[in-house]
Amino acid sequence: MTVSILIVDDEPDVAILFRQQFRSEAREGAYVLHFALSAVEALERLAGEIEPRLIVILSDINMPGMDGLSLLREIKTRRPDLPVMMLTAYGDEERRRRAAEYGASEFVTKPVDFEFLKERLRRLIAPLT
Amino acid sequence: MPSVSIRARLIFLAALLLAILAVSSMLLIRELARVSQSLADETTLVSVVKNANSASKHFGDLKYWVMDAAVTQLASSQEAAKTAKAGLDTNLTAISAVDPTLVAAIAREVGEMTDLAREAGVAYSSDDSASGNALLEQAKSHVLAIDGEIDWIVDRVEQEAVARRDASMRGSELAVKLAIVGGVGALALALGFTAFTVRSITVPLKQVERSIASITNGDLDAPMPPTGVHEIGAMTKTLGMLRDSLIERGRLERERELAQAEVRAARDAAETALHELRAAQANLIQAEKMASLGQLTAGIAHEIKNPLNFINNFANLSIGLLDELKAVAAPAFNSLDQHQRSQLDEVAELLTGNLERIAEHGKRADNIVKSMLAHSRGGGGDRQRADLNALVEESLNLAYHGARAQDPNFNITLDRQYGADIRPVELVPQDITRVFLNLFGNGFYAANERQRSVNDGTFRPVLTVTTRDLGQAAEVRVRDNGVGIPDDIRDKLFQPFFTTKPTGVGTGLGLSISYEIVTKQHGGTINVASEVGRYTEFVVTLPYRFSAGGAFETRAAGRES
Repeated sequence: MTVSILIVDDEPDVAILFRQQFRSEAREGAYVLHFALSAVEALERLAGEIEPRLIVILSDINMPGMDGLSLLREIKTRRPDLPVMMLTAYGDEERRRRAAEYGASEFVTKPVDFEFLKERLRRLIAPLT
Repeated sequence: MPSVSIRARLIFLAALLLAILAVSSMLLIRELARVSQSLADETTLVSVVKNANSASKHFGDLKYWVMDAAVTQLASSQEAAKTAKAGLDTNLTAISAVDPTLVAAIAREVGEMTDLAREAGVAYSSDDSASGNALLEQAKSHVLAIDGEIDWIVDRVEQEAVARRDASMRGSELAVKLAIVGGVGALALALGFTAFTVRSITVPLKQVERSIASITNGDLDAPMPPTGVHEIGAMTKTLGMLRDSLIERGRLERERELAQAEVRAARDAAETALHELRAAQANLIQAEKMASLGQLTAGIAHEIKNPLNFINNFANLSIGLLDELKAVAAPAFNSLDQHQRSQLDEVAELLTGNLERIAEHGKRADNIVKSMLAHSRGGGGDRQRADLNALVEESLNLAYHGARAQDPNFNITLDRQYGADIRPVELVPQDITRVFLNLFGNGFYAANERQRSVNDGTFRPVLTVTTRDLGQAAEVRVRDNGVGIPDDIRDKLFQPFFTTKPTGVGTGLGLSISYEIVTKQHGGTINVASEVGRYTEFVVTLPYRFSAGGAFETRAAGRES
């Protein structure tokens, strides 16, 4: 089945990177990638009901405007069932703890090992399918 | 006599001497009076003797002339008899004091004898010779009696005179002896009393003199003569007061000096405290700068991390894409001629190599950023079982390259002596890394300082890092052959803000934080041995398993909630 992934990051190059990394999976139809450059945009996209099944990746905690943790909280308030994966350069205990507290499913630190990321994604998807 | 005043003593002595003089004089006067009395008595006695003898002679004349007159009836004889009788009477009167009764008896018998002789003369004139003879016989018997009596008196008076003279002689001799004995006795007594009195004054006076000399010479503990009501006692009292005042003055002087010393010490302490405060302030400012620099570093590191992430990811992606390109273009490549193909292969190879180099250097930069973050973050890390040797090696490389980055001329020989039998140690990697970075940095600094001070090219700085298994714990020894640590600052080493490095080079926090991390967070020990000009060695022991409770456990529990 196909899974939609919304990746939120203020860096436009993140979209290019993810598209290239998930090129073969996208070709095979396993994942559909969606991108948002800000928290506001992400919330708008979520309100628009992206289908099929959705996983959200918050690529940066340190975003301008609403930061990643606040966005996580917001998303989990609106859609408690939505799996959210945190992807960040700040791997410290405090942020890890807060992310877990707000309901993040995964916490992956940068630099991203995409093989590891894909493995985590598969684990998240498994109970959905 | 210590309680009697000297004046009283002298008056008493004078009175005593006068008394002795008076007594001895009176004694002599009495003796002299006695002698002179006996002399007077003797003179009287001599006159009595003379009168007695004269009476004897006069009576002889009288009896002759009375008898003659009785017989001759001559007027001249009668006259002579009268004269003799007058002389006899005078003599008898003179000696009557000797024996008044006898003298009176003699006078009576003389009267009777002359009366009888006169009656005999009357008888003879009437020619009655018989009666005259009888009467004369009677008279003669009186004469014999009177002669005897006068002789007795003369004898007696003469004997008495002799006795008197002897007595008087003896009295004189006794007086002389008495005078000599009394005089000598009085003299001795006077001398004795005088000596006693003088001694009673001079002895304490000498003591006072000695005390005065001692006090003048500054010996205030010298013994003092006893005080008393007399003059020397008063002097002693005054001297004692003088001495007490001197002692008091000395005491006050010492107290003043002590107080001054205390004031000086307090001032010095205050100055030192001010100095230390300023140093601490400077260190705090420096630490604050370092802290904000650390935050800045962390911020920069994070910002660098994202672009670096892209570099690494795109480089790796590109390597994959290039492989994909080669696979997709393989049939087309095969249709090309040899030269073109080799050119294409070469370009593809160069591209792959370049991308690999980009990925490799990106990874290197990423490691540096990681270390920066680990170093600036501090605390709060996870405790995990880690390979101590790997951690030491990583820290050593980081410290070495850091030192090289700061000073391109820096160089040191690293001697690694890692024990092969060390098991994984339970620790917080970033914190222990921080400890090692501190120890290695200090070792580099000390060795470098020594090289700078020797500065002749003969000194070779060496840092030896040894790890070994101690059974329950692992040990890491970090030894440099640098300047060493003087004894007097060795116990300050782990105090916060204590540093020997110039401001801006050291914060004085490195070893104190290391101490906290090793002892409190990991239950280990950190010790130092050093010899100035030779070496410094820090010995860190880390137990394989952290068992003690405390801050770390509390923090870990908080994290899991």
